[in-house]
Amino acid sequence: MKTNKLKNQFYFLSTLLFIYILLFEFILPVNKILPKPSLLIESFASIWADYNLLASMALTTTCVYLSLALAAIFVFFIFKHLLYYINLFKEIYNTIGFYKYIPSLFIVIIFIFWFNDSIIAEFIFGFVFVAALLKISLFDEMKNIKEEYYIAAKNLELSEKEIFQKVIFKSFEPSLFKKLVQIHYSLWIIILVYEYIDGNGFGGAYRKILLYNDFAGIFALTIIITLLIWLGSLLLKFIQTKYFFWEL
Amino acid sequence: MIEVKNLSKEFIDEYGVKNILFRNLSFNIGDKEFTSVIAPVGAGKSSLQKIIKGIEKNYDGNIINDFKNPFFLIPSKPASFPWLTVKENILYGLKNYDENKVKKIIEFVGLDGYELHIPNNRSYGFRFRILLAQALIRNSSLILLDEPFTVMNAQSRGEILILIKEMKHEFDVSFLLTTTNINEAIFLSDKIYLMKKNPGEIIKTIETKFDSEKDFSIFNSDEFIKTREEIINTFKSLDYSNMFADLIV
Repeated sequence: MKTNKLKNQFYFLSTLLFIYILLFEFILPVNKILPKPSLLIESFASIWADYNLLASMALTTTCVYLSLALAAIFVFFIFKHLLYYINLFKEIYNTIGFYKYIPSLFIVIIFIFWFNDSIIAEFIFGFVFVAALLKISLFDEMKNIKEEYYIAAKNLELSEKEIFQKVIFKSFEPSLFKKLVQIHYSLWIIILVYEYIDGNGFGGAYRKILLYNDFAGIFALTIIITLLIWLGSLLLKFIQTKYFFWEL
Repeated sequence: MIEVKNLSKEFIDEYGVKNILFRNLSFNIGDKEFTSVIAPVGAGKSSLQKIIKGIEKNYDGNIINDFKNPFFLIPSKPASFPWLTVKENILYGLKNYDENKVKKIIEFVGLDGYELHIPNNRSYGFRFRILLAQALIRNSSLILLDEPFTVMNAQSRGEILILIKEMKHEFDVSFLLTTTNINEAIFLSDKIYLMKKNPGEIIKTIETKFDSEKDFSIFNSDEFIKTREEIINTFKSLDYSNMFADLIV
């Protein structure tokens, strides 16, 4: 079944690729829709040197995955110890929870305004972005604490603090990680926007490419970024299947 | 023995109206006794169980407890931790335990061979067995059953009812079942309390004699039918006929 699906996907993509080569290499070589395949291949080789892409890749991927990892560690390992106290004061959160309506672009602009093109500021922005979204998700989960887990923990003579740390938080973990996988995609977008404005990393490379009217370069860079996002999501899904398997 | 004495509880509902859940509710559960409380929906069966377990504390009255060991509450949707194996669930939080006793209990509840399985996506009957094993390994004096059989399929329910009967004879444990199911209550219980609602009060106590029976054909015996009729007629007189729609012909 799975092999058939993979086969079908392969045939579908091969057909698309064939049509693309046929159409844009031979029939419509000059156009503004898609670049000529031979130009695209050339561009793959040249953009690394033209736009200092290796350094950009190192900056953007480090920023995305380090802030993602540190925010996840912060929420999964530190926040769980605070869950009992958070539950006591959850009404306060409801009154200050309006921050989820503030547009992310405002935060991007204000960070750049405050710190110019500081790389550390970019990383801190990524961390705050992920941690804030995970916290929103955590508070939403806290509205639906499963009573049967609470009773099960009470039966095992756990204290209130232990119940929140070891059982209630644990029961939230699969949905929190699922949220983290979704945030991963949003983080890539918002970091690219951040970099586009401050001129660093892949976002900065996009700006330069646009400035030089490098049509094939836009596609080459996008393909590289798409592959990186895909690899990142594969890694996250692997972690999800291995460690948060019970609600997949 | 546990004695519930003059238990009263009030609450304010979402419309701001004051409701009396229980008024001077009194009953007792003896050692190694299976006691049931049959009551209509909304009578406060789950609240009663939570009060006895000690989860709900906002009530008036006394609960006099002579049992030495803690109580174990099995809710209407029995849950074990899906991130742990069956054995890890059973032993969760225990520092010292006798491996032979663990093995005996796992065998008794029918989980031998499943120790390393993850209970995720398992039936409620399977999860119920894990909870029974947890209660037994902790030497719980009283197991509180809050309508846990309704979510089980017919086969699991039958097996679990027999298992509970065997458990009562083999271990030093008492049970309190709150339910709307008359057949299960008569089959399992030594003593049945009938409770009305608004406010919750005990209206009748019935002693039953089916302790040694393990065959469900007993449901058709004259004595069983007579007891069932007595319960149905008591609730019918209070206009709770709909409660037993599946039993009243």
